[in-house]
Amino acid sequence: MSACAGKVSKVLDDDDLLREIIIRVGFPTTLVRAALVCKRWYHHASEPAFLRHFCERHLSCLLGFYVEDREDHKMASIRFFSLLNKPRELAAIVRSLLGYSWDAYRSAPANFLCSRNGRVFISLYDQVNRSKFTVGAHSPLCPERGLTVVPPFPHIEIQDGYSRTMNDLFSVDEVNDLSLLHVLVVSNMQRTKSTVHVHMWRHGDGVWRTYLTLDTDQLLDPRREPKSVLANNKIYIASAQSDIVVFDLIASSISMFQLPQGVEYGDTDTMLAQAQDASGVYLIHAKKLQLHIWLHKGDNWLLVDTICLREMVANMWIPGYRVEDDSYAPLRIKHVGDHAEFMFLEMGRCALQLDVKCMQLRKVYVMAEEEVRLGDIHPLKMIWPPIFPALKDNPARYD
Amino acid sequence: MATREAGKKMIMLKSPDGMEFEVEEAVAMESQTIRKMIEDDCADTAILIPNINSKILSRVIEYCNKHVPTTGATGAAASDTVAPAALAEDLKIWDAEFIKVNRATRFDLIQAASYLNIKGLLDLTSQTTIDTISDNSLEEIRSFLSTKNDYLPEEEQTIRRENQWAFQ
Repeated sequence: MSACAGKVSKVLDDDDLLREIIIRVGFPTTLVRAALVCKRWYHHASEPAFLRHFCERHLSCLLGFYVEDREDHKMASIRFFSLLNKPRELAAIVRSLLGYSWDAYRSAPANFLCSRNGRVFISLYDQVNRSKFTVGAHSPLCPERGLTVVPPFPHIEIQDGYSRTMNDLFSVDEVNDLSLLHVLVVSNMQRTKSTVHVHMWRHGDGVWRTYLTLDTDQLLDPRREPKSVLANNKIYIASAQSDIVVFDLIASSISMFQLPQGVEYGDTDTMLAQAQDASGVYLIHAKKLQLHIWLHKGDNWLLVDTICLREMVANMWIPGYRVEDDSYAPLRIKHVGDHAEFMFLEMGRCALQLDVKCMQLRKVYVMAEEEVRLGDIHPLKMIWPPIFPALKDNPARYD
Repeated sequence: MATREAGKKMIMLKSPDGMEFEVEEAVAMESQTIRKMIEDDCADTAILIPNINSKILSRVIEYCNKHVPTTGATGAAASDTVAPAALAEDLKIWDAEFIKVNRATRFDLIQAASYLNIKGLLDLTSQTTIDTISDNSLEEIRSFLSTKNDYLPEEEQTIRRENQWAFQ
């Protein structure tokens, strides 16, 4: 037995080998457990380079998705669907996600904003004045955290003759923290003059603060679809027929560029997504059964991927879709994940999930007979990275 | 033997306890470490594999033999008719049998897989250790891995509190 212990420690005492083993744990939950074995393991598991490597290797762990059903501009229900094939390790988490109650929002003028790093943001609007709202930050992965209620949004006086053309909320990517950005655009009737109001709320703050206010005479004709995207301190807003307006929050400037030649916004056939590259944004465009992924970098569009779904779809049973007639059940884009890693698509009476890296398409939802339209889809990813607090007696790593 | 002589280059692997193993070059090249030696022309005669005894080395060769891509191998005609999915399934079953070894052997294999840089074998041998981490209580993991807990109770508490979602 002691010979065996010797062999075990020969492997585990080797830093490289230990990292090789720990990196193979499939889920962030198991990584945290591994970190608790002892401090040496903790320091390996919490190393930034190791965490980056872990992230590349396991991609983002997509736990499942929410379907937000709406009825007459009100929330009808929020339902969670798990996407894990082998949920053994995450069974408890999935149970708690399925058990989390959203009933408080039923029939309320609420919007499912987004989910980010394990939190779900729901905005609740004032019935009369749509610029008044509150936001609830839920932690369905960790119900003990409770609900964080974001303070109400300040009143903004709108000049006579001006009206709101955009009223959007974004959650800001900050490790271990949560903050929100609100963008309100008001324009005059002729749409020749506009003012952009950006406010920010940080976790712990009691009020929203003015982040920046910009007057512009550039024509601003923001669209509701596709949704705007916040990436690397820039907000990309779909505008008019084929424009993208960019609010640069650092430079306090507004600029505009056009979609790639021949592409126009249609009926949920385009979507914007954050690119991993600091300077870019993705555009995903569906055309019949093809998806084109464009990356805007510098001043150019680059066609980075073309995905044909025809064969993948042919092997699936999709109610409402006929192989010989594409137009019968057009392909719609419901959601694109950050870095265009995955997408949720609508076809026929189904929701499909496309894993772009593995090129795998799977049917994840089939509408019930009584459902008129497929609700909005909001994916939920695992919390990442875990929080590794500094340990007292190891100043070397945390100086 | 005839087919070997007809076209396959053979390589001699030596374990430190003096055993010699004649292996097809393609099989030996499942190990990235050996591949590099061959490509750098450092493998004219026999390659000495330090730290890996003959018992473990023979198991590693058995693994590589099974996992070397089948194109051109003796069973080529047969494998042409087998679907890739079925082949993968067959390998999975074979792997599951292969890894039914005692703990000491498994850790020897981890070390060998790491030194020889055989990704598939490292994945397979590490997996059981990883399963231990997922399936057992911390105390059980520590005793299984002969590791001492050096956390202060409050430190362990803090990490658990900050990552509650991982301990449901």
